[in-house]
Amino acid sequence: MMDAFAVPAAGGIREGDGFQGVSGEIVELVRRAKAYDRAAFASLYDISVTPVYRYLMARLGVVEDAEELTQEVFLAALSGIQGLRAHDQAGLMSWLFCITRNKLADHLRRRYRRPVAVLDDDIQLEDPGPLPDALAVARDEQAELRDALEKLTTEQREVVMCKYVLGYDNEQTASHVGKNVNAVNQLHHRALGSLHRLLTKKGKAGR
Amino acid sequence: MEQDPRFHAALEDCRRRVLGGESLEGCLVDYPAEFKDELARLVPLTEAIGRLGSDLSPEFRSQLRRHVMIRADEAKASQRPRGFLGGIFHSGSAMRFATVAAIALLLLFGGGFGAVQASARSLPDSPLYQVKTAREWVQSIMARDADSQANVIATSIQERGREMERALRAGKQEKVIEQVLIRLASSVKQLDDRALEASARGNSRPVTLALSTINSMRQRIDRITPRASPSVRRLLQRVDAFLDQEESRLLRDSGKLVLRWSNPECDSAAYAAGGTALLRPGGEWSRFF
Repeated sequence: MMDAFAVPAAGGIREGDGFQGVSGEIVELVRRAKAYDRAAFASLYDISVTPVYRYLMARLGVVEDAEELTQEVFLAALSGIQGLRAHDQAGLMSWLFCITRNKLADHLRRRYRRPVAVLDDDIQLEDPGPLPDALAVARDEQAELRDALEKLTTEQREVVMCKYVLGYDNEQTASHVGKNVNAVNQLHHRALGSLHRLLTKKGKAGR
Repeated sequence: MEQDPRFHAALEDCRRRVLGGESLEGCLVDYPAEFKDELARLVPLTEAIGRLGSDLSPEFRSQLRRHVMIRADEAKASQRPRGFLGGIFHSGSAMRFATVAAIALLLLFGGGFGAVQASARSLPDSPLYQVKTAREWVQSIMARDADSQANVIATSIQERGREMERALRAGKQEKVIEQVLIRLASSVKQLDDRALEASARGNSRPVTLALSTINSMRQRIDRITPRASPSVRRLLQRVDAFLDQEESRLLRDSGKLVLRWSNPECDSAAYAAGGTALLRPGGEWSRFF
């Protein structure tokens, strides 16, 4: 079976990232998945779960939230499988990411509407102990970067996510965002420039 | 720089080399001087963005896979070719009920006993459950007098009690158990209404049967509540409160002299005795007027 989005070896470039596989295989898998063929579903799941999770993790930064939304995405995909019209892996991922972005938008709306729980003064929280300095700094930097990403335009953010979180090349990114390669290059450069400016203001860029 | 395809190519190349383990300073010497400052700023930024998207754990991957496969199997089961009967079971409610009732009659009198038997242990999430429902409905409309009507409804209430226990033992979803309990409550109310009508015409036997049936259900609920999940326990408590309310209504509105006891050894047959206490050694009883 296709080995796209294989889990990378630690510290190395991810071989096999991006789109691979033969279009005919995807068409056949989709056809069988619409008939609720277990093996076809399993194959489609195996192809797509990693990029969906990585995207959600990059946007949310919390493992539990990313896992919960990943589950919601795949269950929604299962419910809506009859509406899938994919002829290749790009089409499949485009459909899945449409569901992913909708679920993410719902989640963010719920999160902003939910009142913050006020802890009772009597409740004693167990202190997990101080984080190692490097880990604490890394978490702060990631939070700042996620915050800055949310300040980009939707298209700029999607280009950056495609190229650096999902590992897509220019053509795949262009297909994902529905633009030509030149437009993607422009968006890409502006996104990086904006991010750098936002992070430099906070004194965090380039660490 | 934005429009310079050489810069984009340099950025991609430099990033790939740094991810491969080369130092940024070592890579920069290989690119045009006008690119170096921009590359020095942006390559670390692209690395940081890439690090945001961590991979899912193997445990979660396999757990979610199992969950999705179970749902796929459920979806496939609900999509099975329905055939004639299946199409009817999924059609509009009035048509469905009339057709199912006709089929139930056919099964009852047309020798389809196997299907009726097969539906005997079915639960609301089974397609055969509607055969059971139709059979009970047919039995109720064929009952001629108050006593036989009360007997039919009481029998269906007992069956709801058995379904409740089967559903809990089988670990059915809460909504299946809730459907059973709703039907149970509806049948109890129906029985009580019929019993009070009969009582008003001088026939107290249906009231006695209703009280006995309610008592039996409450004992069943007491027995199974400790084994239920918290959410199902709440449902059971609501139904128990409803049964308590219906019992009080029967006692109040029938004006019946009833002997009530707290000893679980005293069986509900004493209700049928119409007021005579069956007291077993060591039991307690109290009399309500």
